[in-house]
Amino acid sequence: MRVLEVEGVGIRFGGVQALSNVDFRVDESEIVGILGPNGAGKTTLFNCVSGFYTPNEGRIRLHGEDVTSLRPDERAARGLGRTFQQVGLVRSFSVLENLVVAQHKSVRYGILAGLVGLPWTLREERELRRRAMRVLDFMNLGHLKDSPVGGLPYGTLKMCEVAAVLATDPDILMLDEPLAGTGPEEGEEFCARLEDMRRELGISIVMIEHHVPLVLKTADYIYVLNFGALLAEGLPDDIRRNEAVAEAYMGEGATSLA
Amino acid sequence: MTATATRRPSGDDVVAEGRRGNRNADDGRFVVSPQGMAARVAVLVGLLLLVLAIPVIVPDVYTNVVSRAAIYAIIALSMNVLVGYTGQVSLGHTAFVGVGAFASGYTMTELGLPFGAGIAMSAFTGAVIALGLGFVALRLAGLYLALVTIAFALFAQETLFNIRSLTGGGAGMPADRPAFLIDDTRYAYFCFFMLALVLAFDWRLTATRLGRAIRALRDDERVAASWGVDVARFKLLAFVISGILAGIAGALFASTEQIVSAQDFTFGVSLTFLSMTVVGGAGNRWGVAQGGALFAVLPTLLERAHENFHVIPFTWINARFEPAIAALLLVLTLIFYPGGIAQQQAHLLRWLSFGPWKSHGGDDDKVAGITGGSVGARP
Amino acid sequence: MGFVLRILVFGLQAGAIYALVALGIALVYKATGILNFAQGELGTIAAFSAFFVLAGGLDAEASDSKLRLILATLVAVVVGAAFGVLVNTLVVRHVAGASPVTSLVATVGVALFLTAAQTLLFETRARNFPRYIDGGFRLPLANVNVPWHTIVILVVLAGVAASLAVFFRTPYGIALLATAEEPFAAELQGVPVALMRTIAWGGAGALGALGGLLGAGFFENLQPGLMTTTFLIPAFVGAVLGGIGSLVGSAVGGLIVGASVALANQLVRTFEVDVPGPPQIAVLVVLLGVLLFKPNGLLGDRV
Repeated sequence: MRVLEVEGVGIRFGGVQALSNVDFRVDESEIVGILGPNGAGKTTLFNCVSGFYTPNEGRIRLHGEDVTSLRPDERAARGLGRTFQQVGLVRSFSVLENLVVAQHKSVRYGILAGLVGLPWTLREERELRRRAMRVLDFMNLGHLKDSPVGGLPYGTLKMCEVAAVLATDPDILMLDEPLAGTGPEEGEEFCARLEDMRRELGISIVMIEHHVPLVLKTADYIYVLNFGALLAEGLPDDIRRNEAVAEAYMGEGATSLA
Repeated sequence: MTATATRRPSGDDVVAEGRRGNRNADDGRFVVSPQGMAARVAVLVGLLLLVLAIPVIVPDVYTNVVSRAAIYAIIALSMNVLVGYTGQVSLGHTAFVGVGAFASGYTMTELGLPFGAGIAMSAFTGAVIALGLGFVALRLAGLYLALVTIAFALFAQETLFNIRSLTGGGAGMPADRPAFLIDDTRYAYFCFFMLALVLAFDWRLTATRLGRAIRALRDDERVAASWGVDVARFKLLAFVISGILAGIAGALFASTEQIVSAQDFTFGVSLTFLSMTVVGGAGNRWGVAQGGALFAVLPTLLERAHENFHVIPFTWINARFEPAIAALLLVLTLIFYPGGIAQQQAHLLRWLSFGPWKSHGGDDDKVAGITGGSVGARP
Repeated sequence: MGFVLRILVFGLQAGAIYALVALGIALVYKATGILNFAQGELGTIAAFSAFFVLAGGLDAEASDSKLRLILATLVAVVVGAAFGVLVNTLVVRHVAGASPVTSLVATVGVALFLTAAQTLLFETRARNFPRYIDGGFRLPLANVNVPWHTIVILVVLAGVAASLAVFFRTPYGIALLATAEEPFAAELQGVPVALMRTIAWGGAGALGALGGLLGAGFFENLQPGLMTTTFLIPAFVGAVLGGIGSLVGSAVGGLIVGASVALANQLVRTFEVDVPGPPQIAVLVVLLGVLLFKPNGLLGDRV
C-alpha cells in the first residue's frame, strides 16, 4: 500500500505559482529522492505535505487517508515525520531531552496523572528516556545525550534532528537537506544509516538533497522539480542521463548529471 | 561503520564526570555517589530549616512582608509558565492576579463562602481571564501581544477593578482570613505551604509531557507541531495554568491585608512582576521564586539597612529608592546576566538538584533569557 | 453635527499629543526595529529641564516670560536628545542582539528607572507648567472652546511630520533606513551604523522633548512619570493603528485614538452609563480591532 500519495498539488503565494500540479508517491520501505535547483519549490512541497501550508489544489494521502485538511500535529500522529532546513530542534533542551519531547504523541499517561505523579507515569518517563537513548545509539550520537543543543556544530545538529524525528516513530521520514554541512564520509555514513532504517525499521524515506551523486546512489526512485513543476521522474540511472534535468541544474549544453 | 574521532560509546561518560565515579544508568541519567548524596541532602535540609524558621524569627511587624514574599514567588512562578516556559510575553499580569484577588474577596464577603471557596473561585476566574488572553495570543505574537497585555492590564486597572458592585470601588473589597489563620505567623506558614504546592506542581509540570510540550513551543512551534504537539491546545493550557496560579496568588494577596482595592493592581505593579521574573531568571523555577521574594522584601530590606547600617551608601539610600533600584536590577540583568539569578546560581542549582556540579557542554542549561534570543551571547 | 465637532475637538486635544509621541515611537522603530517604551519619559525629563530654566530652580514657580519659555524649549530639546543618545549608548546597544521583546523590556526598565529617578529628585509635588499660547477661541458650530494650545500642538505635529518625511528622502535619511533594515549590508556600503543609530535616538529624544513640553502644557502641570502614565500607551496604540513602519500613519493613528477616547467619554456621559475607565476601554478596543483585523495598520507595511 502506498504510504504517501501527493496528487495534483498546487499553491500560489500572491501572484507567484510556487507549485503546480505536482504528483508523487512513496511506497513502503522506499527511499525517494527529490531533486531540483534552488527555488524549485521543494521545501514548499514539504510544507504542503506536512501541513504547514494549505495547497490551493490537490490532495495529500497518508496510508490511503486524505489528510489535506489536517493540522501538522495530526499528520505527525499518523506517521509523518519531517526535518527542517533550519535545524528543527528545541534549542533550550539537551539532545536527549529533545528526543524525549519528540515522543510526545506516544506518551500514554494523561495530563492529570502526570501532574500528580502516579507510579505508572514515572515508569513511562523512564521508558521514554531509554527509548531516546536507543535511538541516539542507533545514530552514533549517544555520547552527546546531555549536550545542550546550542553548542553543537551544524552537521551534528542535522543528525540529532534526524534522531529526534526517528524518536517520533514515523512510518515515513521527510528529510529536508539532511546532508547540508556534512562532509563526504559523514554523508556516506548517513546514507548507510538510511538503508538501516529502511531495512530494520521499515520506514519510507523522502529526501530533498543537493548532494546529487549520493541521492542517485541511495534512492530507489527520483522526482525532479523545477519552477514549481515536476520536470522528470524515474529510476536513478534514467535521471542521471536525462538531458532536461542536467540542463536545469547546470545550464544549457549539459547532457548528464553525474 | 567508520569510527570518527569524536565517537565514544556511552559508558565512557564516566571519565567525563570524573571524581567519584558517578555512573550513568542505561537510560542516560547521571547517578550520584553516596557521599555526594549525603552532602546534597545536608545542604537541602539546612536550607529548608532556615526558610521554615523565617516566619518565627522575623519581628511581628514584618511577618506580612514574609507572606508577601511567598505570594510574589507564586506570582513569579505563574509568570514563568508563560514567559519562561512558553515564550509568551505578559506585561499585564496584574490583570490575572487582581481578578483572583477580587474574586476571592467577593466570594467571601458578598457570597459568605469560606476561604477555600475563595481560593477555588480565584483560581477559576484567573483561568478564565487568562484563557481569553490566550485566544488572542493564538493570533498575535511578540511585540503586538506585549502591547495587548499592557492595554488589557490598564483596562483591568481602570474599568474592571472599579466596578463598584464587584470590587467595592474606591473603598476596596474586604477579604477576611479564616479563623485559624488570623495569626500573621500562621498565615505566613500557610503561604509557604501554598508556595511549596506550587513548586511541586511546577516540578511535575516540567517532568512530564505537558511541560515539555509547552516549553518546546517557546523555541519553535513548527518543530513541536511536526512532533505531534497540538500547538493551539498546549498554548492555551499554558495560559490557563498561568492564570490559575496567578489567581491563587491573588486570593492569598487579598487576605494578607484582608482588604484589596484597585490601587493594589496598577500597571506599574505589572512591570514589577515582569522585572522580578526577569531578574530571577525566566525559565528556572528556583530563580524566579527568589526574584519574586527579593522584590517583595526589597523596600523593607532597604529601610532596615538604612536604619541599622550607618555606612555609605546605606545612610543615603532608604526605601524610597526601591523603584529605582528595582529598575536598575532589571536593566543590569538584561545587559550582563540575561539568565538572571538562576544563571548566577547555575552550578549550585544543578548540584542541589542531584546533578553534577559541572555540566557536560560547559553551558548552563535550564537557563534562558526572555522569549527566544540567545543567552549571554554577548560580544 | 455639533456632537461630532465636539468629539473632534476633544479628540484632537489629547490625540495631537498621542500623535507626537507616536511619531517618536515610529521613528525609533523605523530606524532601529525597537519599540521604545521610554519614549514618554524622555519627554518628562526634558520638561523638567525646561521647568528648571523657567523657575530658576526646582521649588520655585515657573515664570510667565515667553522669552524664558523659548530658551527653556531649546534647553529641553537638547536635553531630550542627549538623554535619547544616552539610553542608546548605555542600554539599548547592549541588548541589540536579543529578541525584539527583550529590547522592549529593556526600554521598560529604562522608563521605570527614569520615572523613579524623577520621583527621588523632584518629588511628586505639582508644578505649574506654562503653555505657549494661553486661552482659546470659541467654535461657533459646536459651542465648544478650542484652546490655542491645541492649535500649537497640531502645528508642531504637522511641522515635525513634514520634516521627517522630507528627511527620509535625503541621503542621510535613506542611510538611516538602510541601517534599520540591513545593518550588515549598510555597514558594507560604508554607512556608519553606530552613528546612524545615535542620530536616530537623538532625534527621538528631541521629539520626545517636544511631546513632554506640550504634554505638560496640556495639563499645565508637571509631575514625574507624566508622559508615560497619560500618553504613552495610547500613543503606542496609535502607532500600531497607523502602521508602525509609517510616520504619517502613526501620527494619524494617534489622532484617531484621541478621537476614540473622546467618543468613549462622550458616550458614557450622554447615555449616563456608570462604566469606569472609558478611555482604557477605547484604547483596548481599538488595539484589538486593529491587530485582529488589520495587523499591518491602516497605512503601514509589514512589521
